[in-house]
Amino acid sequence: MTISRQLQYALIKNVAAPLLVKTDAWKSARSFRAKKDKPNPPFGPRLESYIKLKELMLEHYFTGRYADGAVPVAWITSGSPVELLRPFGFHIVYPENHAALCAVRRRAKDLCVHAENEGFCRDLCSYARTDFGSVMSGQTPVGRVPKPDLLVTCTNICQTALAWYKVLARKFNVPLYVFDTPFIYGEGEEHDVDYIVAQFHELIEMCEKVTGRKLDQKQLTYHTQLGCECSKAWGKVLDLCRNRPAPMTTFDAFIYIGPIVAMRGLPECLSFYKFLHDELQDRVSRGIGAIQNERYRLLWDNLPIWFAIRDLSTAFAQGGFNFVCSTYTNAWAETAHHFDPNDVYRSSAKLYSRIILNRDLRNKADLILKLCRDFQCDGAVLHSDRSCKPYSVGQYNLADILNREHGIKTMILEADHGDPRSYSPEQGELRVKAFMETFQ
Amino acid sequence: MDRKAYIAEQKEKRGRKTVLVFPIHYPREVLTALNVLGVEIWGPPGFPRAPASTHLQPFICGIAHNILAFIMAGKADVVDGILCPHTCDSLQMLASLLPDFKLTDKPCFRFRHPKGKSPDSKSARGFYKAELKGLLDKLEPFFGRPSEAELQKAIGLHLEADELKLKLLDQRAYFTTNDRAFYEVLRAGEYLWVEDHIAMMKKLLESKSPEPVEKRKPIMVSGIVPEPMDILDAINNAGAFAAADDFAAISRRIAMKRPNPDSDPLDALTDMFFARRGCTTLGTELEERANLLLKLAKSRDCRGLLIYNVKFCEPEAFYVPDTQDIFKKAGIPSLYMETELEAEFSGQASTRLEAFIEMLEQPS
Amino acid sequence: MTIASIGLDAGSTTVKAVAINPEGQIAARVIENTKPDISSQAERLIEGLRSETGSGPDTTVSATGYGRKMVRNAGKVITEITAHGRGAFFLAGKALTLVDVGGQDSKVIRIAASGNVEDFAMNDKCAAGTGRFLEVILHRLEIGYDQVEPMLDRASGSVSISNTCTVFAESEIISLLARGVPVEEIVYAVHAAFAERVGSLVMRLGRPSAIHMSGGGARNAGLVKLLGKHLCVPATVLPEAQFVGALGAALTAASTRAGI
Ligand code: SF4
Ligand code: SF4
Repeated sequence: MTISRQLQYALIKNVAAPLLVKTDAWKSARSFRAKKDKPNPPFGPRLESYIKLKELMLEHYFTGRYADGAVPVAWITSGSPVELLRPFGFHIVYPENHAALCAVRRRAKDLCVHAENEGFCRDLCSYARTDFGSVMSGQTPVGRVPKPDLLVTCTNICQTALAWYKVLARKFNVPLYVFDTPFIYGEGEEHDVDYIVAQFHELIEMCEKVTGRKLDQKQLTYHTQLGCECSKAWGKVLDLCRNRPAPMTTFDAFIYIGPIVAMRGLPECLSFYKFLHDELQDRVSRGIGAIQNERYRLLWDNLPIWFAIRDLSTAFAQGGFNFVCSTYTNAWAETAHHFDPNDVYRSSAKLYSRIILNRDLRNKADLILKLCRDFQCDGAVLHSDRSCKPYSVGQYNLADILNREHGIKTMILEADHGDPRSYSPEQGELRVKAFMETFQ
Repeated sequence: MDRKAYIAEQKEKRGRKTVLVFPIHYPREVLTALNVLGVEIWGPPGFPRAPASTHLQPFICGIAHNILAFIMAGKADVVDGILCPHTCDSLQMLASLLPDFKLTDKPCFRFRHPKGKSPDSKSARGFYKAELKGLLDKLEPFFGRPSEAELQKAIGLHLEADELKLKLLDQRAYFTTNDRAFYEVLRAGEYLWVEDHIAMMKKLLESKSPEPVEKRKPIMVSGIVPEPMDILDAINNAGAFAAADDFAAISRRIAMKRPNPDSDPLDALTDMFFARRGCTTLGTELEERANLLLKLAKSRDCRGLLIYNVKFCEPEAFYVPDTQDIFKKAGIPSLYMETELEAEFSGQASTRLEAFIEMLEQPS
Repeated sequence: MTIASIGLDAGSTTVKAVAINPEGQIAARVIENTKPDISSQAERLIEGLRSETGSGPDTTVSATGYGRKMVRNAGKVITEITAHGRGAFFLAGKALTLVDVGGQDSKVIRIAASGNVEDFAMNDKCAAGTGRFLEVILHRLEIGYDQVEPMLDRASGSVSISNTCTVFAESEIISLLARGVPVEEIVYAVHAAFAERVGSLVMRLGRPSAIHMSGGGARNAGLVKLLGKHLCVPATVLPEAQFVGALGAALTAASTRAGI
């Protein structure tokens, strides 16, 4: 880490990025104000939070361009214990988040093809292929992604991310820590917790080695607690959708999820969700819905189809269907209650291992039913994601249970979260229309 | 004797209960110590897949589909339980799907092992040992609890079997059998009682020639499982033979080091788990694994590497490009093939294989 | 006429056979759609070449292609890869990357300066990267191969199809037609998707400096041009493009007899 890189980074972070964001914010604020009072059918009025979000993410990715060489950089999976890395001053890169961004900006397909040309099989998770394609070609819609000094993968989302990071470790030739959270059948075992706690300490040791800093226990408690508060704040935002009409659609939430994934444990993340919450609360009190005519309420299961969010949300909203909750957005809020500041390690172990993707189908069925009850859903759409096996297996049976035992109309939508070649928009829209007709 | 008759005989004559076991890594010794016959299921082709496909998406691998098809066809009705190691995302979910949505009424014992950990990781060793204990607890109500001596004896038997497997694999070129027959013996341990398997391997070992007799081109084979076994015939018909093995079903499960003879059985089993060569499904370090394979391939004079993967198997597929790259740099060409585990080996597949062997045969 | 050998390429769509003279030049050729009974068809074609060239029954025959094992009285039997590698090297006389677009499969073969096959790639089972895919779509649009090139030149390339799966692509095309998109744009989109698919196959062997094409797909001049453009390399069609495999087989037969 050279002094000049550090200086440059500090300058960018403290001066240039805020400046850039300010100019950009000014521009978007102007265009927002212009559009604000214009009707936006079939949706409700636009949210100001969207501009805040753009600022936040822009600053994050922009500072990231100059991070390597100045501060330590870690690439980690979405489920990794990021709070542990915060005290060491890492700039954190989330390849999944970046891949999702590539998909939204319609860059994912080319990156996937690049990876496939290098021999990576098309059946691999499209996040991984997008990431490999970006790493190998150097292409990204965010200008530049800083190179890692440390990789952390956590098995709480899948075993796929384990192999994915093994490949990254060879490409970058940097240390990889595998944070292994054994899959939970039933309620989980005490020895799982022991194993995970031991790994917290191993990971801390590795961070100390990579950064040459000692852990500041106070900082750790601070960030862990803050991370937990962020999750709770996100949960409160989601909970507002229990209102009728819901002030936000799940498709919006897919976009607003950015900070809780990429900036958990940072104060700006928390203040963003407070802002969002207030804005939505205001909508609720004035009876304004996210879509103009909310007739039916739906649950979404699995990852978003990033490249088709807009088309799908419009198609549903036109029919008066609003998605009010999803297992995916819920995943970043569901385990926050486990946290106990008096027993940071053991409670965090539970927090990290008890997320939906690390638990069995009994749990998933119960969770979906609970969400459907709490959010008063009339139906559900289960996105069968070709890329994500752990999230998708069991959906056929779940659909059956929801349809037959609970009278919740459910459809399966075959697609992929990132690779547009595995989704046929024509057939998808046809199925969606047919599904909506069953509600008449 | 076919598998079904064998299982029935084991039940009748030896009073052995049966447990169906999913791939890949699990402590077979524990079953042996309990006098329980473990019958592994690697998704044999041939059962109607339609019933399974109402529960599993088409992008889940053929092994998972075939396992479910097998169970739904009632073929597992005779077993007393199902052991599900935590192999990959797909089997992880199948192990939940089966009992949680009542696709079987057999007890399902789930066994997890550490992922991506090196043999000297204390936390991982501790977890593995705790899982072993947990497995014993889960099995107890159905099959009782083995004594320490019973465990030690079972460990001894399986170590002997492992050593025989290694010996056979080492000396493949000294046998006149074709690959299919050779692998049938190696793989018989997937359902035979360990002592029967030992006897079978010893018999094959007796037929060893004093000199290497195999004249075909030596290649290395890697993948999850050589299924359908026609792949082995295809290799032989194209003029090559499997001189070095890295199938998960075979070599990757062999303990390469004996445990300390004084350690208690669970420690010994833990040692044996961590003494395996490494496997994509265990998250073994990529370069280390590829170099190990390369060394083996060279020691057997292999001209090429065949990676025979199960379609949709992610853990395996992630390792492929880098492994091929490392082999290529060492001057060993490789071929990547996928199988959907249908009953038949397709003409297109055999063309690719033959073309690959023809390529290896060209004068350099 | 002195005939050195006969080569027969029993493909899935067409059967090709050539008789070559001692210099390797093709002296006679024949091509036919593949019949269900490949054995007797092969026998008839070989007999035909023999009488056409006046060569005796002892002329050696080699077979290749997906029906190669059905050809009785073939001496050496080799795969399409080796056969195309040999044939293409003979025709080009230098190291090259061959792209063969056949009915049921497309293959890319990298041939070294020694004439050895260095590496190859074939499309997977699905029809997306094969000649059949284009055929189905062109048939549906009622367009012949010779009409393609001018259409591609006219098209703006503003439309793309995301799916190269034949089934998906068909439904995508239907909806494009329904939206009133001009046919040449659709033809362009389909060829672009195809070029991308085959291009991936090429890229799997590493970027070449040029490609040579053979097989039925090489008759589609528009496709050849587009593939070259997609890969940013010059694309040339080999002479005797449809007979490269048969020629390779014949050359193999000749060298087997000569004991080379
Ligand atoms: S999308 Fe699914 S398979 Fe891919 S990294 Fe995320 S959890 Fe794993
Ligand atoms: S083949 Fe691969 S994906 Fe299928 S069960 Fe085995 S390890 Fe899992």
